[in-house]
Amino acid sequence: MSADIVPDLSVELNGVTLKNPVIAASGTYGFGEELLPFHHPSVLGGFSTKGITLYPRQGNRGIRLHETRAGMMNSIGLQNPGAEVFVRDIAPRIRGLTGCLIANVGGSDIDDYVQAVAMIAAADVDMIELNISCPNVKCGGMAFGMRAEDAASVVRAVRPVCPKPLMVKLSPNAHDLVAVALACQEAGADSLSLVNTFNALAIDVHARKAVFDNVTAGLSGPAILPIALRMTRDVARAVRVPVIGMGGIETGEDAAAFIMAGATAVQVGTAGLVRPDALPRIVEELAAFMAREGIANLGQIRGIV
Amino acid sequence: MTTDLHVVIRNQHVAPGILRLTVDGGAAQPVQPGQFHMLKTEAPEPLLPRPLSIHDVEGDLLSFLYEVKGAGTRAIAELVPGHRIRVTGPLGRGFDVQDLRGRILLVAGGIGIAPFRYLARALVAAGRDRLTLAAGFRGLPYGIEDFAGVVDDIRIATEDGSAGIQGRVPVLYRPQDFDVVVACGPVPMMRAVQQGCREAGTRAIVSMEARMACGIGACLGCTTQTTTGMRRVCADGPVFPADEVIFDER
Repeated sequence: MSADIVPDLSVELNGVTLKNPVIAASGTYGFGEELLPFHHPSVLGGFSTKGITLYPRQGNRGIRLHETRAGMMNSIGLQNPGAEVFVRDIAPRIRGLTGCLIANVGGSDIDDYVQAVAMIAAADVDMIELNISCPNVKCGGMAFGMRAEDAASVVRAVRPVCPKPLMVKLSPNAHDLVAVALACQEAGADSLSLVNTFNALAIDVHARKAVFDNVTAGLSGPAILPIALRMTRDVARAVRVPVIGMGGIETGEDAAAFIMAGATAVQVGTAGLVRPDALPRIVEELAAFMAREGIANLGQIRGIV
Repeated sequence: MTTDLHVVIRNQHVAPGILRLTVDGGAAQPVQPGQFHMLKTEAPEPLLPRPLSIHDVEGDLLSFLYEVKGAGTRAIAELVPGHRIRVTGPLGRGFDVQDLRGRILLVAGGIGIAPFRYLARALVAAGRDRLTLAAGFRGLPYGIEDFAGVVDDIRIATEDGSAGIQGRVPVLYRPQDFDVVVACGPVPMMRAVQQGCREAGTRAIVSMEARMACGIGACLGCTTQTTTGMRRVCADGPVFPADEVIFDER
């Protein structure tokens, strides 16, 4: 193997060229500006914004975070300024931060999703990531990601109003994840990202009650990596559209594992909360891994497992 | 704002369960009193860094006064000189020293005393000479010696009567005697300060504590209710005008 190979990390995702496959996951990267003191978002393949809903949301009250072994649980509840503010104020401001600006869109019912996607897809963003997998909102959210027919109905509804590539973010809590993935593909999804957080429970035994007001919350972090990796492989083998894998990625080699499982690109969330330079480091580590292993481009390892 | 490994210079108990950690500041950068840093040991667990307010900045050294409360602070307490720890910061909006004038009261509840040494030193450096510290503790006080020669008027309350006046911190002062009250401590104490100052017409400022994940405003995990909606303790605070904070009733 050549020691002086300069690996090509770029990937094509629905006609958009990402300089590398590492995308910041929604909800962990704000609107990109928060990270500027530590790194410029342009060093990443792209980033997905905090989930945006049609109208502003205050998010959940009470405890929103809980650390677990090798992970964390969150119940933020889609706090966001709403589609109008995003389109008018935020999108123009952050447009220049990245070559792939992905607007993550949430909703409570199909009309919400359609109106929000129509507004946001008309802004200068590169892709829409449709969140049908948020476990922390009372109605909508993950409810659409649990069953294939519900997922298909929302994807089918937003497809005509979305002229941009449409990524659908899947829930690992789905009854049959591969069936949901296939249904989204048939309904018009251009790519699929997975996994969102695992619905999970923490109990404060001293208080004898659930830690979170909503009782359950979403688990992320290194604890979920092996399950997310298996799910990524399951879905990638079943669908034709690109898959963006995520779940507990902390290192360049973790990212390589998701590519080997069939992912076109990866998203990284929790690791970036743990340290603000985590994502650029993952890019560097992936490049170093590829150079060491003589991998010229990611196509050589994609889906090989 | 940087994220780097810093060398532990000292990490010593100042009272049972209370330690002062001093790290090499490395590339020293200006730190505003009331700002905080996220600290994480090099071990994989616990996963998340912990927010600790800046206790003092001396030359190239940063120090943090902290209480061992859970897995994160326990891991930090185990560090010995020469160990390294990841320090990210300085973060958040601290105290506006220029804005604090006249008769200034610092109200501390327990480990809430941590940010006040650096604040008091900054206030003295800015020429403020009417400083009072009112500090309340459950048991024996700690951290008070840090104020010798900085604050002349030091008032102590302990719930068990082991030092100073027996009772809680509000027994130590009348808000109307001050132009501004700055508070840091448990929520019931902050709520009492807010209410007392509101009734007396005295301006009050609070420094909030919260569970955090990122510490930089990205995850929205540490928000608090305010009169202008949910705001991030890490990035919009931790220092807020007391009247803007809506303290949780629980």
